Amino acid sequence: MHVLKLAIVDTGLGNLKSIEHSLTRVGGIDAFVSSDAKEIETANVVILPGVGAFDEFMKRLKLLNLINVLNEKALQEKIPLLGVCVGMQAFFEKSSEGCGANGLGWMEGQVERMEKKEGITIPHIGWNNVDFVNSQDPMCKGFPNSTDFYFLHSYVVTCPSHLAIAHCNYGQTINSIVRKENIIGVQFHPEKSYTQGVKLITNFIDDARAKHHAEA
Amino acid sequence: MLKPRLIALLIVHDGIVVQSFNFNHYLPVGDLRVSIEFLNAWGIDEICIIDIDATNESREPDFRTLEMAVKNSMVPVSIGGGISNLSTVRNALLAGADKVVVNRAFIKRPDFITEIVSNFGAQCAVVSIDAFELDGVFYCYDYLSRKKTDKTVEQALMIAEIVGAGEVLLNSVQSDGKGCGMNLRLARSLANLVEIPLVLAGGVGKGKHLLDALQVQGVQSVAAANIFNHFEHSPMVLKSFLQLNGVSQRILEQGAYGAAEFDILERPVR
Repeated sequence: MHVLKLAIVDTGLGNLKSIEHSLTRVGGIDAFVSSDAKEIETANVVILPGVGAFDEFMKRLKLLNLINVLNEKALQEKIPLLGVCVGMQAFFEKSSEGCGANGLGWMEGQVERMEKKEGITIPHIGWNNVDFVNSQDPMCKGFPNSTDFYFLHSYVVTCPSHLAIAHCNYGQTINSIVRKENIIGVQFHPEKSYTQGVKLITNFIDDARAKHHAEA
Repeated sequence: MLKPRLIALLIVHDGIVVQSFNFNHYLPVGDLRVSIEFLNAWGIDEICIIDIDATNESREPDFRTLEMAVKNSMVPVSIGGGISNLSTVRNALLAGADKVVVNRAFIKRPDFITEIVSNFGAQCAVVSIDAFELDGVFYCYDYLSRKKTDKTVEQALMIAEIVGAGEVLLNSVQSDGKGCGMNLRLARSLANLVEIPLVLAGGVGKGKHLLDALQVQGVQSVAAANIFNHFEHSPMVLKSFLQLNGVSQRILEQGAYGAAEFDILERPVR
């Protein structure tokens, strides 16, 4: 079996260990953590984990000279790429978080602070049930509707509805999984969502493997 | 909808998990790694590990032990005890923590939270406040000197929000370890004061205590320690109890107790 070479992009923010641990539960992957553009260049699958603030996250991607390699991987090579939380938010055009910043601009849409409402505490922290709009998508395979995932964020993505393949509700509808061709983003943390999260990462890897084989 | 979380507090003393009574008496429970494994399998929503010796001995938590243990958790983990500078925060995250819990360093220097937030994000900064009641007023408690401070919990909570904390873990010193119910007066006195989530801890002896606490406005989640260490399948049983009483819970497919009712001792009856 052809082993997938998977790069976990390290921006120096937060916890990459849990992503690595989830991947060991999936198996059959040669995963490495890197902040080096040359190393990431060699991968055929990329995960962009994100914690922290959007502006800080984008600043680090720039300082580490990773924007070009990510653009090339995502848009030219079109390899499977998964963004988590801020890693997903970075796919969009811009965010109002912190001092405000432009994102990678791969998807149409923007990132804004969650609406303030009575009975809604911010950040959105905890387990919320996700409903799958497009159950045909490989990411949604085998999940019953209303599966609980762990969320931890204060900002949300506003985008055209055809990009969102799953959402949840927290005072407003929150786009929870987005996809544009090979680029997939999840707002929640699959690496912290118990076996449901491992299953989601497995779906991503299975799909990546299928595409890789089709091309090989 | 968002489900109120059931958070397990694992108090670590002399390298093992202990049962704590009123912050001054401790009995052994066992190995941290084992606790984390069974709590995961039994459907806990989140785990919070506090090394109570760390501040006392002016050291970092024992990250090597923590890393070995936390590796097995598939739900979020926060680590506290001796978190007083950014390099300790970084080490906690490197050891596999998703969040850090700051207590004493916050009371001494609230700006420390802002530093954590600007470096690692608000989602990873949990402020922990131990509340001590005197003449109807709740004061912040200093567990090192075992004395109440002059700062009220209300003040501390508002400061926590201003400096950017992601959530607040609120423990009642006088309820701790008794299992006689959570401090609802404390919870009620703080309702609607802040926009960030409040997690109430201390005093859980049965499901009804959690239910009472979650019915107080402003209590977003609940944390407990001893009950999880001494009753089999406790997270599952407690969650089934809450769900049956109208509090929506995350219930594992393989861990659904599916009890139609609970007896007077809150044991599930099939």
